[in-house]
Amino acid sequence: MKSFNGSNPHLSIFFSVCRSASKERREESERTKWALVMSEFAPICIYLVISPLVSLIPLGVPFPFASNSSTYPEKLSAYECGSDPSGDARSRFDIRFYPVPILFIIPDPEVTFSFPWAVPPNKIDLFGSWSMMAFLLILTIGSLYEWKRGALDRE
Amino acid sequence: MIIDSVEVETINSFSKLELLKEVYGLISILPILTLLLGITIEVLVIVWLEREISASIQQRIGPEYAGPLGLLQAIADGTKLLLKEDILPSRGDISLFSIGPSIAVISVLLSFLVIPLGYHFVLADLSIGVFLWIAISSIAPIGLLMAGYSSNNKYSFSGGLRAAAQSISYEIPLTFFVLAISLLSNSSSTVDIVEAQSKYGFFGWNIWRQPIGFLVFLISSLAECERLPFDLLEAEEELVAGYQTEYSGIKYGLFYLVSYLNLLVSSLFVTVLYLGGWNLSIPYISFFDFFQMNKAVGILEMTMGIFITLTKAYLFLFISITIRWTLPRMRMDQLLNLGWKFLLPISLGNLLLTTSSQLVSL
Repeated sequence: MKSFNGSNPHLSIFFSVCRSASKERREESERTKWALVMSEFAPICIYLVISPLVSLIPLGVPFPFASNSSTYPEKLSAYECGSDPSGDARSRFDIRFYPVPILFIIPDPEVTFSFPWAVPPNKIDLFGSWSMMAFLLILTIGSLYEWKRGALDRE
Repeated sequence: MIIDSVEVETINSFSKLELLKEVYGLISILPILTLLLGITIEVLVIVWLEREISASIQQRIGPEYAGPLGLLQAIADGTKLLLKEDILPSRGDISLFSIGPSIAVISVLLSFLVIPLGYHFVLADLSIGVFLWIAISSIAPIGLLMAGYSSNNKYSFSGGLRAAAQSISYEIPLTFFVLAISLLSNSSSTVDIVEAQSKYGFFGWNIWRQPIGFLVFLISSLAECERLPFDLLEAEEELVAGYQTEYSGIKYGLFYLVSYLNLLVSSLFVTVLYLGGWNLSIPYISFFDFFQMNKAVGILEMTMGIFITLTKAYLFLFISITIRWTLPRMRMDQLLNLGWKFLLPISLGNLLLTTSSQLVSL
């Protein structure tokens, strides 16, 4: 654009006219884009306010009706089939539940990154599909390794 | 991309409220409240249906005292639970204890945003519709873990861990199959997915194009809803009631609600993704064109769309309830093996097949 300014005055006037016209059109399209985004996501925002109300208001309803539970402290202790609870509930848990979320972390972004790839196949043609296949192949090799090493066993 | 104001107004006129077009916020409250009312009625129907079907399978009579044919049984149960005392465990974490069920309810309620019951009859026509559902349904295990941990009970904690492990293990095959549907329909918007199935009537349904996907989606969504045969979290012999042990009153009612709401969302999504949504699949020549009254035709089409979607969803509900009362329960290691070692490779293979079929047809 800079090199055209001195050399060709007609072209520079043409470009400045185009820029100002497109700016107005850009403002107009930005306003309608904003309106479109708001109209798409406004129901979500309102729903995000309403659904916590729906789930939290029933929590307060029993208060006028409930009895006083401080007269029976055994009611509030942890349930262990009738006997007194033994030991602390949070001391230990089975270690085999620990790797499951860790192994979930890998395929979860894998499938998340696959979503933008899956939608426009006619625009990304063969090259796009094969590059995604390479990505999935690398992660599949990792999954095979973790399978063979027994990370998913004995669960 | 030039967006016309006509398109904005079309999207905004979700219902027949023509007066409030400029105020974007107020338009959305009435449809949302209508949806919540509809959801409540549906849950009542599902609870009644489950008890009647289970009674028939076990050759006994179901509820018959609360209202005619026992239809108000769920209302009676809900009212009883509302009036019960709210017991908070003595050494548990009270704030987490209270918020746990609410988080699960919120995440399931938010999934109703993107379910279409007709062409312009969806609360939020997002271009990332199914992806939003997948993302939001990942929040539910957090609520279950909170509930299990804050109860200060060994059995609750163990149940909460199992619930979270089961939920996240079956999310990945579920998401891969939803991804395959997106690939077939070239869109993640639920409205587009239903529209893509409307071309050949009955034979345009995605169930014929993704038969493995239909079966695996059924299995995975049953596992996500924690229904039998993946019912281990409520195994009374092992875990008392899992993460729900220390809950009483309306918080227990909220967990009960989450279970049925999740089932409803899953069955509606099966309808939308595989069974053709609101399309009446008998190929009919549109006889509505003969009527000149546009508004009446619009209302009639809307009603038919809702009716057809709900019929298909209730088919899947009937299948789920029958499966629950027929099959035995799976063990935890069998469950996780099924999710990780069987369904995940199948989902990747299906994705490969679908991609190659799409590339061949390009």
